[in-house]
Amino acid sequence: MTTATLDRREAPRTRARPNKRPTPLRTIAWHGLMVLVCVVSIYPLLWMARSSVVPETEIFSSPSVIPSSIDLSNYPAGWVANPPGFGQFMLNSLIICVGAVLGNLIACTLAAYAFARLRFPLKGLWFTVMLGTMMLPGHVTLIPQYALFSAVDWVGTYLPLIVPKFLATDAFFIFLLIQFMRGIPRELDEAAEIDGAGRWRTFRSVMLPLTVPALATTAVFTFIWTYEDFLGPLIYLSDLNDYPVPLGLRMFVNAMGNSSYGQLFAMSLLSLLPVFITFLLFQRKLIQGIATTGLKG
Amino acid sequence: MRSSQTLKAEQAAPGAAGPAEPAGSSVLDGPNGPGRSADTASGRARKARRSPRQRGEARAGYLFLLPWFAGLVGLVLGPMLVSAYLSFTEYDLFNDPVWVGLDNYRTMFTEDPRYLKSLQVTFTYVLASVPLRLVVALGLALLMNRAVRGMSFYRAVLYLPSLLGGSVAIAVLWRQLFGGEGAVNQILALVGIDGPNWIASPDTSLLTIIVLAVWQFGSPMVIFLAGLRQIPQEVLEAARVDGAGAVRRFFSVVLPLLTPLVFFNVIMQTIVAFQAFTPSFIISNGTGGPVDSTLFYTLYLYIKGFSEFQMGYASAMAWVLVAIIAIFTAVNFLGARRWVFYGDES
Amino acid sequence: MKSTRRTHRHAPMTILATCAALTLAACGVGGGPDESGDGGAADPSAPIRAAWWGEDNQNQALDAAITAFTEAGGPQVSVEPQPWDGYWDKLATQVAGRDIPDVVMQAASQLPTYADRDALLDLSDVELDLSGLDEGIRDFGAVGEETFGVVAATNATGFVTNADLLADLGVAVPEGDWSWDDLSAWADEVHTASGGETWGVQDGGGDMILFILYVRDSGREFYNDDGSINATPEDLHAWFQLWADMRESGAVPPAEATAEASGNLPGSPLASGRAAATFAWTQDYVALQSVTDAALDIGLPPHNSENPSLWINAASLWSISAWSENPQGAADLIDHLVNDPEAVETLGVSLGIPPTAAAREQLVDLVSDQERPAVEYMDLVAENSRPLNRLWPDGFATSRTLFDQLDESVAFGEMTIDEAVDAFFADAEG
Repeated sequence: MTTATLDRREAPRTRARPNKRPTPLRTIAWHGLMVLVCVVSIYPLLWMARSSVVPETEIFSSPSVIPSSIDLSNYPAGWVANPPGFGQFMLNSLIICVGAVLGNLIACTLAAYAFARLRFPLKGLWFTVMLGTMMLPGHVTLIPQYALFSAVDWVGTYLPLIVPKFLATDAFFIFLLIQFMRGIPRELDEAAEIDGAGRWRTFRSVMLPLTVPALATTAVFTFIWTYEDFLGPLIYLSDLNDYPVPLGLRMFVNAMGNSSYGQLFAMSLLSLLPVFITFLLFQRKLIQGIATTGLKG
Repeated sequence: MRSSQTLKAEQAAPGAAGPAEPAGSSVLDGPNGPGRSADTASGRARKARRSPRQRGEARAGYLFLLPWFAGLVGLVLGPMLVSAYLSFTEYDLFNDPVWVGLDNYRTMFTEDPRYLKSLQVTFTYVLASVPLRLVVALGLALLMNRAVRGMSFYRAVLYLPSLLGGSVAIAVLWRQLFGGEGAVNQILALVGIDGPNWIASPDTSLLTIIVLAVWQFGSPMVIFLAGLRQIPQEVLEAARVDGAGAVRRFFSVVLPLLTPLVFFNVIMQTIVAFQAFTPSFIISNGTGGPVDSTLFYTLYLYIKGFSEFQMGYASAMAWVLVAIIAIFTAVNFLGARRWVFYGDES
Repeated sequence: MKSTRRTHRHAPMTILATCAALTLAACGVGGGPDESGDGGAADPSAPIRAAWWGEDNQNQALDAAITAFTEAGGPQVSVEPQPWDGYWDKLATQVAGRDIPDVVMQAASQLPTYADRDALLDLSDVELDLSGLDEGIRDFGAVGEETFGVVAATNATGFVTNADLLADLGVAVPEGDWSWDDLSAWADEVHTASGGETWGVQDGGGDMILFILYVRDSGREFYNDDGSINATPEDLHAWFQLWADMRESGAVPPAEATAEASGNLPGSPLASGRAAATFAWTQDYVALQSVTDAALDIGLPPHNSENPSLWINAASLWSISAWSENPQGAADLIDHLVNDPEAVETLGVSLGIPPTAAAREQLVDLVSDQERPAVEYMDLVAENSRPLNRLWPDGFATSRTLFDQLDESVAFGEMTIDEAVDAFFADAEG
């Protein structure tokens, strides 16, 4: 911290670590607050865990998180219900998610770089169009979109769920990446350009490494939102063998017949595991990424 | 710190993603309007011909945008235009659309009290939930921006509510928390307050959904966190050396550097809130009740389109919503000139 | 340079026009719904698709029955089991894309919408033996001379009571003929006997099905044969007043408690022991029993033997797409599911209570203890029912939703009864 200066151009950034020793009182206050926030956040999860092991008559009678009895049978029962079963649903989800993440990472980053750094005719117009595509509620484009995918015979495959990601239809992430890229000092890529690197090389060897935290954010959100998506798979998939997790979960509830709430909550809980783990891992990545960025800058 | 006058001048208008000046140009150059960006290379005459370098850059720009263009043309614009066309028709999904001109739009504002109610509910929701959610997300992001062992676990835990999204569990749990004899009222009873039936009284039902929205603060929090981690430690250190306290450091150093992401979150959360569907759908069981007190705009649109088979009317509603969101977004972009600044402009 | 710019300027418009044209073409807008398959000429061994909503038991049973159908020489069938949530959204989307499965499970409330708009095949166009179905349920999917659905499972509305609670309170469930005024008196009795702790019956004022029972109690029909509403504003006024009075006296839960339980069977006042009775469909009775420890009974709602108001209802029906390319194959599959003894054995009561006496006889030992009262109740209904004069007309589902909303507005004091009555009939006539 010896070279502390306001000018980022000259300051070699070091790892962002607070170097001030917090007072004990502050630390206690901080931990107290964190515990409170965590309790509020984790409560529904505990409630679901409890609901997955108690008799159905108890699920709906109280918001308590402490089970009166524990019966784990909902887990094996829920796992094998609706053959091919939950393992297959999770695998299917994973396939769709990996495709979607790759697609968004590639296509949205390319588009964002163009908007954030390059000058070209009609840029303003295209940027406005890009924002505009986010403003129309999806329910009214569902039917024409279905017609399109039906015309190319993609209904019943994962293509309608994955291909759009490779064509940067998630404007949210383009905009997010633009905002991140614009936070990066321009001199860095200019230096590369003066060295004679082409646009592509500047993008790949300067911009991409600097954007790692934003890419991690994009990856995490794409994964989670794709993993949770119900409407898309519902409309485009019809074969139980192809179903992802959200469809599999809804199969436990039948408003016109029997519902298996215990199994529903057991599998809901299990299905959160992959997302939670993904989040945990990428969180770490995200922070490391930023630290590296700091060193390079 | 940057002076306020540079801040003002360098902001992008809605029509210009980035001022994108070449090295050495003055940051005081005005924002580029639509269609002008290629001609505004600073320090040159407006009418100057493009240099080969600029042409190369333009070509590169379009090459980088190629996938996006393909998606736009192949997947996005078509359905959007069809819905625009349908908004001028009566379309029940079964028969061909019948052209009715502006009838849908007229009916909406003159003969449909439920529509006006849904507008009111949605505006209330947007104006209450967006600021609250962002403040909570930013506050927690600040709280978590420390190097403490197990922090990534904390972060993941705080993201949990957002993971539960529109699950059945939330629908059931919310009733148990905010019902007449729910947990919230049991706590209130301890301090002698006889609480209402939060979830089922038309006066408070929307409030429970706002609470749900604020509680699912995960995604803006993560974005704020990523932004906070990007702030160079030296900048903060310098401010500390200058004797700035924590509050002052936040307002004069942290917040300004975070503005691109604050701006992003404001824009996106507003768009998302205007289109909010799932919370009211699961809490009210798809009805928007009691007595339409949680009838969100897109929920009503969905009811019209998919339950009552009035897809023309639903499309018209969608395009009015586009107009509303566009106005909010444009105002945000105009206002942003005053308070957002970017690292690429230093 | 200028010309390049002009091209750039024009590019967006060209793109817009192309996109719109392509998508419209893909939508089949301009094509119309008349590209339906020609029943006679089609190949009866062409593969077909079958869709339904359901949970595990039902999916596995249907899957097995359909596999047997194909093995016995029927066409290949691709099965499309779906969750109830979203079922209708998907079907609506498929209708717009002219792409609905050949065999579709329908609900009684939705069937008219699809039938009236020519999305379903008139079953008289195919060979299908429905003689085994119960009298009165055979024509359930009929509109005039045309039939659009074969009942897959039956249900009926019943009066569900908490036997344990009533025993504690010393109040007996009404027997024999009883009227809606008797219901009011009975609910008051429960409320009083419990010292005001328990509501007599859950609020049914917003349930149009119950109002239809109320109208039929006097020997009339709710709908005229042409689909217009036969009930009078006076009927509706009296109905809303009946429930308003019960809310007033505490015999029925207040508006908030009812709203809290809306669409939430497991959290309903009956399930949580705060109300002694409710009106429910037979399948809901089974579901309620599974979420409460108390013993529940199901019996006849207010009725008189002179004018039976109950009808045996279709819990679900099988329909054929108007665009099916193999309608006879689809009909053969439906025939198999409804009439084939082995299929009946395989399906059991997973879909609900079967529509044929033969099937019910065959299954008598397969029924679980939880389901048995519902099955026995259906026999009781069979003796005390009168078939509806017609299938619900198009717009029934919307009317039913409106009915519930209006009652809720009255309950919350946002509307007077007069206003609600006017609004209902204004909508029905408009």
